[in-house]
Amino acid sequence: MELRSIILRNWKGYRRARVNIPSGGAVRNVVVLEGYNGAGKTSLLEAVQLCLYGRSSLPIIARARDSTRREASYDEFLERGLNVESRGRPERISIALEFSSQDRAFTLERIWHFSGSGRHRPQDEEVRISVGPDNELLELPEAAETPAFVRDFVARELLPRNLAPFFLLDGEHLDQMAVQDLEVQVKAAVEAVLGAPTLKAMAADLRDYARERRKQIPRGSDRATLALAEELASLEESERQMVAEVDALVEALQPLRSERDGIVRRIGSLHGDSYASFKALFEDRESVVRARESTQDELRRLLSGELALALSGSALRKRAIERIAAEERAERWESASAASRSKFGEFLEAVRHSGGQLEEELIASLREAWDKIWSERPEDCIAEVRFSHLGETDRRSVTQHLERLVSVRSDSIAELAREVAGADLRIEAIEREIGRQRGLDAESQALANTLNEVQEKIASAEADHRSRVAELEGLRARLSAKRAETDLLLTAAADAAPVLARARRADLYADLADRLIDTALPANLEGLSAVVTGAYCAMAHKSVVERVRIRLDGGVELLDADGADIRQRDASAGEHQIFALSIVSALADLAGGFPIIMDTPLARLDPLHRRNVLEHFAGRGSQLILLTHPAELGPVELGILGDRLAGTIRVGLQPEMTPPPSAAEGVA
Amino acid sequence: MSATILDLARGDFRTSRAADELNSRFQSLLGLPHRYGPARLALGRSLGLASAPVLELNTLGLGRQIKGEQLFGQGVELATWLTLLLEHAGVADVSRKDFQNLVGAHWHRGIYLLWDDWKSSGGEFDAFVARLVQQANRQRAKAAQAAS
Repeated sequence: MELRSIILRNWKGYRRARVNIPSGGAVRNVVVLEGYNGAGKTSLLEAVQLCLYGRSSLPIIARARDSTRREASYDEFLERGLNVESRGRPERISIALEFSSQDRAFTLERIWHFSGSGRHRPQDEEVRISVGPDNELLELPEAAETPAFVRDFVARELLPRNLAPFFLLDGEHLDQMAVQDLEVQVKAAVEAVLGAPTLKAMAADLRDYARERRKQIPRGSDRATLALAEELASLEESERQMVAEVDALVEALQPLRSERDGIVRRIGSLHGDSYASFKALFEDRESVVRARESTQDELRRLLSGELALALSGSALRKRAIERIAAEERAERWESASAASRSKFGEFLEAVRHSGGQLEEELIASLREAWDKIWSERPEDCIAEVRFSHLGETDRRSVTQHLERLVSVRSDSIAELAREVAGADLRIEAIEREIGRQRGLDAESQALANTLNEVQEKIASAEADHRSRVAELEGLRARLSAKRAETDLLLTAAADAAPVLARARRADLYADLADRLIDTALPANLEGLSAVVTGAYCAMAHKSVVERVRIRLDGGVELLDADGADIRQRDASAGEHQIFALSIVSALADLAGGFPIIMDTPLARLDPLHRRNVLEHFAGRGSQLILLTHPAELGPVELGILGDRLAGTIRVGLQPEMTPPPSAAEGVA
Repeated sequence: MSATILDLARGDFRTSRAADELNSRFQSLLGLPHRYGPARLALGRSLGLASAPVLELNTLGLGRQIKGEQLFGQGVELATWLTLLLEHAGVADVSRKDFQNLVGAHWHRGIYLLWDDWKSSGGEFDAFVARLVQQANRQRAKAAQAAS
């Protein structure tokens, strides 16, 4: 997929402009948009981000990150973006992006309206999507559903939002990406590459479908069915609430992280050279606190979960498992027996109906013979039901749970306890070091204190999030058992069977999608780490890094020959940038398809790094759009790009980029 | 069982006051955030003995109550604890009250057994955990021996 043009109206310095981007396919895949400071290069990058993701683009737009109130800052950001000459009367900003590939073409356009006083009118925001060579306008759903539809369209056809920070890059902030919040971004991006958001949406749709199908089945009116239906409805309501709470916690974390990044940036501006190590210490502390929390959770879970149950002894568990199986057999026999009695009644009716005379004595003999043939009580069938609290699915899950307790290892529990104690010591040491580096001036002290508070809030919100997710998983397990129980009751109505079968299949596929999400990340980490290692080694000229390892939590380590993480050392801004670019390259390779757009990517790099980065990214073969200052790309760099260069466009308010749009073609 | 699983999940459970105090002590010694942590260990420890626990709770004073859904967890965890407790008691029909007494008695016996374990481990977390794990695994070895 190539970006073919950016069409702007009233966006920042651009009153009306159309930037046509030359297409060179996989061979001539690099386009340079060149301009001096203030020419509007970053405004072009922001236009692309804003057009693709609307309100959700704010966290990835570097110049919009300062505010902690996301809703307000979206309005403010747009109001600041309205071209100055267009203020003082009702106006609009519009940004359109044209994409094309060999077999597809899209135009995505967003329009924001403003009052005469320059206030953004959020309710009037418009999105238009046209497809195909004739630009046929796609019909969008009702207003309330439009944002979700557009988000899904962009994620499916262009680029999921979670991957955007790795494709739409502000070079000035690349080094910050390497040290701030990288775990969260990498984890989200890898999940997006692996299709987790799509799978999550699919699982939610399947569960909705199953819920709706079940609602269509006429319910019985007996007490048991009604009580079960009531319990099921209440669990489903709890699930909806819990999902909303988990989403809200994720949302709440975003501004906290932005606030933390803002404070770290301000401390950086006060501390000059020690900035990187100071940031690294905070990052380190946060990651140790996070790891400690998760180890302690695991320790608690083992102590009050598996170990507590295992203490009951396997003799008791074995007896319980055997009894569960025996009760299941008895229930099956009872049910077959009841069906057989009913059939016998029908048989007698049929005989009487055809005029047959049956003496009581004969009926008794027939019944005895019938029972002997169809429902003789097996010898291993117990008479007493001890576990009446277990339904059919409970029996299966309790048996599995008991069977899993075959061995509990003391070394794993003790090891976890030692890890927690070790983490406590490490946190103390980091805090001492932070105290030492903090500086004595009042402003640094105040900022560091605020940073501490924000870090605490982040840690607490993350802990809440973890615990709510665990609760949600537990709730879903209960829901699944209850649904199976309900299905069993409803199956009695013969006409419900096909509907139930569809609902059950939908639940099954939704569970499968959940399991795929859980297993996809660990299964792909090694491969992803290898790709990042390849990209890093191609671009970095220091040879100390042997390999790059991506952890399950999204953390990334640069390991030397001894397996030590060199990220803990105080690397330069340029080195951080190379590190971030290697992750960008690896994720872009894995996700494929969408162009990479980089704003001033080379400014902080030395000549050798510049050469490596240009060679590496240009050689990838997919479209690369560089927004650069003329000083960034000299004759040497242009020589490196060589035949890869499809064209250079001068950015700014030159005549060719101002009205009329038809004449504003880029200069190739 | 005359009480339903929901009755039990929503019901309150307590043990003797002394056992409850010991429970709190364990909670802090083991760094567990909830009262149900040591209580579950105590239930498991008591269920590991073949004999039934005997306790007349009313004569000893009662500790604080804990909800069934906290003590046993929810879903499959709750169902598993109930299954083990009923199998150990060997009864089919138990009222809510009888079940509460049964749990209180196991909790009481188990927490005292744990206290002995703690003392025998010299008050060391690692040694205590190792002892409990050994206890759980010894039960398995015994069962295997009996089966062969």
